[in-house]
Amino acid sequence: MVSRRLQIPGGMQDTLPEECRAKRALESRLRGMFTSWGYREIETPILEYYDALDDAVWGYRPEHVWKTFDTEGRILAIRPDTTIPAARLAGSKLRNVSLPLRLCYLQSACKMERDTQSLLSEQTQAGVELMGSASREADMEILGLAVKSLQTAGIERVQLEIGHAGYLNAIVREAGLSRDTQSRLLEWIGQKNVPEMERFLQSENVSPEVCSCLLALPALFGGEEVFERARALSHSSEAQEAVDALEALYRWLHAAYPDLDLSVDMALEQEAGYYSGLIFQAQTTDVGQPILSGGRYDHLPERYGRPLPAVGFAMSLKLALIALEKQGRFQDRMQKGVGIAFDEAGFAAAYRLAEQLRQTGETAMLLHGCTREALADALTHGRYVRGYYVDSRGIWPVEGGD
Amino acid sequence: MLTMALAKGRLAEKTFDLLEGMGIDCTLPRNPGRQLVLDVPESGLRFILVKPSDVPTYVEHGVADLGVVGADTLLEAGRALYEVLDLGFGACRLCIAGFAEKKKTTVSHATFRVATKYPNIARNYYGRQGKTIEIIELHGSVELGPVIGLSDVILDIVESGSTLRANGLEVLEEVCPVTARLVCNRVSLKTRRGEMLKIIEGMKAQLTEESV
Repeated sequence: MVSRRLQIPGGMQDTLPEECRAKRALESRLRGMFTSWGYREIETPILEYYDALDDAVWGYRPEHVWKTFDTEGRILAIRPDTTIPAARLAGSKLRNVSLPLRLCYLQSACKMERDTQSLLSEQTQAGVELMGSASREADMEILGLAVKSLQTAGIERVQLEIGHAGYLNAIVREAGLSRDTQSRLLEWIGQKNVPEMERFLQSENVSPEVCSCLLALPALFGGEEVFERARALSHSSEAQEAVDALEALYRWLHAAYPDLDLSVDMALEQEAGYYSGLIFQAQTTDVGQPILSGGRYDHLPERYGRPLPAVGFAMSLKLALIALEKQGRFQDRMQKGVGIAFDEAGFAAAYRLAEQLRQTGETAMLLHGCTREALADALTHGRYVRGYYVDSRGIWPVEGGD
Repeated sequence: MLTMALAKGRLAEKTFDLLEGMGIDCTLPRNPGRQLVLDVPESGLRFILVKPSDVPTYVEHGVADLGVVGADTLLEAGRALYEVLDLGFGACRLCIAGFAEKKKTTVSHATFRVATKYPNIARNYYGRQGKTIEIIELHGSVELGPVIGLSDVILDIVESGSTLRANGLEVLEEVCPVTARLVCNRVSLKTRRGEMLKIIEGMKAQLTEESV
């Protein structure tokens, strides 16, 4: 067997210094912004009880959740997101905190990707949850915070896309089809797979009106003209209300951020199954997957003992960093420091010198086993901003050659 | 510029026919030589020529905005794409084939063995029927499976059925019909809506014209 000593499992990643530095910088900008909006940071454990995830209800398929066992043989899940643990907290330890609850997090989530050779299974997410308000203004706050997060990250050419889980569900339910048929149709609508829908609907006993209505859903995306088309498609009050709500959010976003590229997709699909109202995601031409996604999940917290309307989003830091790199805005330059070489007799003084430099805010490194000549050579190659050599006689500035 | 992933061969040729009908010059990609990336700047298109089973991968990752690929490959790969058009060509069927009468063994082959290039499709097809099967993954000449006693049946695409007949096999069940599909990346369709819809609607119009 080939030794795995130097390998890591598929779908996992080591974060090396340059990326880590850029990642931490991004995290601290986002953390600062979330905090300035009144969102308070939480951390939740990497492991949760698997049965608490309620995967059948919330759309994470068992095969997509990483699992392990505790000492009693109970199945544990590595958290697939932080929204579910946040809802658990709202229903338990944060029960008595006054509403609305504003929480944020910067932590990883794991999903078992079917293609672990090329898709990352563990991703750090920066996210927010606003719980306890069902108002349109709460949706606006979260959408605005999403836009600000992308701006704070420094990502350009971003498109924000909005949709509504209630609209699609209302129309598919209205069609009067069996549950099994509904879920197959929803899957195809999510894939914009009109050919398969046509084939399937021909074989089912569905009226021509219902057919043409369902077949129109995948094409319901674009700019604000979509709202009129969406209204014309269904007279159900639920669908109409969904369109009204979405249009109001669209108009507000357009007024608040006139330069933002906005898109509407009435058939927008999210992997997590808990969304009940507004859903949205942000994307850029430079990355093939959405960088940020979220929405309203009014029925999730009640599963954890506290009925609370809630809305939130999470940004994938990895995809955000990829976008920054592709857009030439990735700052990967390690801050250079002062290099201090020394001989045996000079170590104590060199150590003190390094401490003094650090106190003035500089980065200082002790260069073990480095001769004066080697330091001069390193300075020539621009590895340090300055150099010192310390021996029993004192501290000597070292210059690089040319 | 939009990037389209195509599999060399008939699907690509048929796709070029459609695009030429839309006034897009495909002389260069039709004669690629050894080049794998072919730019047609005046039409704002770049073609990449890849293996058929890799088309969904390129499109999912967004390095290709569009792709043309058989429904069989899509079903097997199960990737998050938009599958927007049935192009009609490349028509065949995914079938279960084998000998009409086969020897019954109880112990040596207690499970039903299916030889196929499509393990996921086979698992789902028999899974829905509650049958337990053993999948033997092969990459070519799948017909050999039952002939040589490696498997009870095969799950494969069937066009004329002549290879099956030449080996004494016949179609036992039809899994689903297959045609070429136009797929697109989920982000590209939204962020480059105008360019994407121009291609999609253009191809759709060509198909309607053809069928009239």
